[in-house]
Amino acid sequence: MAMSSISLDAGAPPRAGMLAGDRSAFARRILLVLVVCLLFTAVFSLASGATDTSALLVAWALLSGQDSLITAVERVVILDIRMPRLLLGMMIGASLAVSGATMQGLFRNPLADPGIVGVSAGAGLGAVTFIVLGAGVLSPVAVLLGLYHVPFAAFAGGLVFTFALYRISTRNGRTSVATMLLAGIALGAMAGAFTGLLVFWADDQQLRDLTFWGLGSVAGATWPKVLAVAPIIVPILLLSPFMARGLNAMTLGEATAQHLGVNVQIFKRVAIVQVAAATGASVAVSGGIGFVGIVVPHLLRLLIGPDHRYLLPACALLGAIMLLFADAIARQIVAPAELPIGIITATIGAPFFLWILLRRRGLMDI
Amino acid sequence: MLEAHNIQVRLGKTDILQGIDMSAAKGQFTVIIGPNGSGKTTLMRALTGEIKFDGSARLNGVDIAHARPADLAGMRGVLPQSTDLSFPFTVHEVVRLGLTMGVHSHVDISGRIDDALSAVDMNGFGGRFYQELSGGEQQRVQLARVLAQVWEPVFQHAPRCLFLDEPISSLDIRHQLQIMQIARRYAAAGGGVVAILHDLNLTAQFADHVVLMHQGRVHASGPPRQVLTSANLEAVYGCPMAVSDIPQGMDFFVLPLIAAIRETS
Amino acid sequence: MTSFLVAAAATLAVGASTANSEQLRAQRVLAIGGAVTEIVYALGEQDRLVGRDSTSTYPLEAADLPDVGYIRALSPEGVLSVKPDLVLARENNGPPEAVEVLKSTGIRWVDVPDDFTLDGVDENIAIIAAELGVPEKGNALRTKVAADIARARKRLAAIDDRQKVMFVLTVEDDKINTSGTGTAANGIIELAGGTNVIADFAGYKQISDEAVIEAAPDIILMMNGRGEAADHAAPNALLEAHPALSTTPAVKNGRIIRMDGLLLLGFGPRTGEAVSQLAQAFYGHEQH
Repeated sequence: MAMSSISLDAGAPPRAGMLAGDRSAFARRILLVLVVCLLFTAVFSLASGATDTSALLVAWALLSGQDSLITAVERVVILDIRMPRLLLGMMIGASLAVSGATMQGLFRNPLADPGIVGVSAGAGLGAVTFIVLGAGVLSPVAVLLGLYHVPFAAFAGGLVFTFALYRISTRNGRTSVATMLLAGIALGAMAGAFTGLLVFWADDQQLRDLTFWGLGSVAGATWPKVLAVAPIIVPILLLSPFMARGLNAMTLGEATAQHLGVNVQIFKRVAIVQVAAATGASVAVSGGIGFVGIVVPHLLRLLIGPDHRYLLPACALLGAIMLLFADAIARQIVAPAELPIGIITATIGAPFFLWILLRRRGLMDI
Repeated sequence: MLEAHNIQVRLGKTDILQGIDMSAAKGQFTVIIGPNGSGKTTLMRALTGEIKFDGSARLNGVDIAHARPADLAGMRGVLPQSTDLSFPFTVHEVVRLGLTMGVHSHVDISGRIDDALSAVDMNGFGGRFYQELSGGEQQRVQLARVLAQVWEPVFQHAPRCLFLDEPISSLDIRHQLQIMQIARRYAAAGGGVVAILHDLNLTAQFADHVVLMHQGRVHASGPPRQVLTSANLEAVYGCPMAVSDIPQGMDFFVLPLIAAIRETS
Repeated sequence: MTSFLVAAAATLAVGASTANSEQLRAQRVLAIGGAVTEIVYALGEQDRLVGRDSTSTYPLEAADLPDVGYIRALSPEGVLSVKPDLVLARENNGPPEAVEVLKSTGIRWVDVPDDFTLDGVDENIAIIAAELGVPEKGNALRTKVAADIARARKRLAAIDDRQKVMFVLTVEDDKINTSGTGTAANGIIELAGGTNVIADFAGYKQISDEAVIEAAPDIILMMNGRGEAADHAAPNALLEAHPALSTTPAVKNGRIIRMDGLLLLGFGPRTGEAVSQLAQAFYGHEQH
């Protein structure tokens, strides 16, 4: 029977006894494990790279004030190449995974992901618009927003697309998966068409920016980029625990969430803005890094269950770990050159997505 | 406790509700009956603040149309006809969702969840996955969730209310009676209960107050004995009804009423 | 702040002396851009190369050098890992953020201009020879390259009826991507005595089928796929089946010219050879 197959998705068997079915203690332990893992991954990421620079030596030299111990190159490698890359990778990974989980909670479907349903494409369109027109028609806006104009444009694009997607695919508080996926394809195609038009207008210098941007990479990580997205991503990550109760209630449907005391209209808007902002910021600095938003939440739901109070922070942690891990592969595999990280995440993520799709086939309304 | 005047709801070009007046008192079990399409569920959705309506509806003096969802959630729980759940929660976790708005600090959350499950005869099911349960079990878990939300029938001197839309539709006879008794006890303890039912016999047995709906209007309302008459029911349901008589051509029939008397005594 | 100024001054001093002094000249050179690598080899200074980018495919020995990736997607740490003390990079390098970080390390970074003219070729050789501290070798190479080009172009002056050439970058989904003005393709066509039929826009863009028919090129110029022995029959069949291209004199007369991309568009020391081959393909001259 179709119903029983969902139990495959249900994760660790809950413990018996008085607190049977309460997975929160287990989830808290997993969170702790993830924190430790992230620390290890971060240290590993800082310590490994194409050059044989020793992060430990640089740290010692900086802490003890003995600048003579290290060369200028070693200093730059650790402080200006690996550090911003580490921070950017952690922020992007966390934001992609949390956006994915939030969107899945909002749409009440584990296949909703900003990358799949066209939100990233919308954010991309926003970013490309400013890369191409930022110096021309839109220059007053670009000047006004300064460093933030591309992330902001990506945010605006993501916002419009998320909102459109929600309006199209949700009727009477129920979201149709088929409509959502089809609308996502249509919106993605639309964004692609406009992006193509802008690419046609772009001059060679802009084309160069676009080419690199489209690859999906954190290789261009610099402190200005970190500073451009941190004010967007960090508050969103800090805000996400406050979305947990609402997302949990939303799993019973919009009407029931309202009955349980959630102001659904406001909640939906906040969630949409949050997803759009996080996706926009990520897309603006790293291009299209796909599937982190779908793989990470799904794995964690298998492990600790769907309670967003634990799922969201766990997603932030595991998303950061996964992205640092994928980045490590990206820089080692063809060193001294490197692969765009989007290739790594898609290579792992796309088959995973198909696997989820196949297992849920009997349950979906398509 | 619940006062509604001239409730009107239009969906598209259709008038679903055309001026409903009704009330539900604390300490009473109010049952809404009527044929399919008479507007029962729409009325409940209006009274729970789920859809927009014209007219006035107040719960403990609070304007339902403009109240904050959180305020309403503290005063009433709602069991919809059907609920689907999009992620693999355990029964324990589903009931916990009833506590979305939190509980007072002295309340033991796990204890509350276990009590709610016991109330619907589901104790021991906390660790099971919701999606693995039968339809009837799922319905009872949802009721436990609603009970957990408004566990005390009277809270800070104000009565609370249960809104139940066909709470017994997929239950066996034993659990139908059990749910009706939960509703009765909730009312007896000072809370209010408003339920939509299709079973006229159970209505006759358990209701304190009956609202009979027909084509978006209230056809009759009052104590069961006044409302559940052959004349009223035939006019509304459009088929012959025998009230308090053994139907012609039958020697005997099974009446849930009789089972219930044995259960309660 | 003070230390920053000292460091900056030191960098400047090192930079100046690298360019001028034989003793301090760069020993570990990273070449980024196919033509840059070719020039270093043509100068005979290949022993000082420690790395190249992925567009550096000529001469074949260059493939043995560590590859730091695509010229426009350089990885800062990948570049640093070959420990260069001089980076010679074609101007279209990127991404800008990565290059900025690399420049901040104090390693000498020289941008070699993207100028698709004879003067550009000459200037690039001069710049690279100066950076490598071998100006005499540079002068010799400049003379040789200029002579090669002059020989290749010797008979072109006499030509009145210039061939109309269309450069086709790609044909994807039957959509033709071609070159307008200001590109290497445009530059080499002009040098070989042809006329680029597409002069309405700058850079590489997709054009409509009608524009292709309107342009009516005598010759279609394309790049070889990677691998010299690539089979051209299938791609040619594709061009012949294309509704717009099939109407052009070029396809009707079978005048489809393919050349190695780096040779054709590199504007390196083999520019003379490229012009010679092209001119011969255009006009059938004997160049010897």
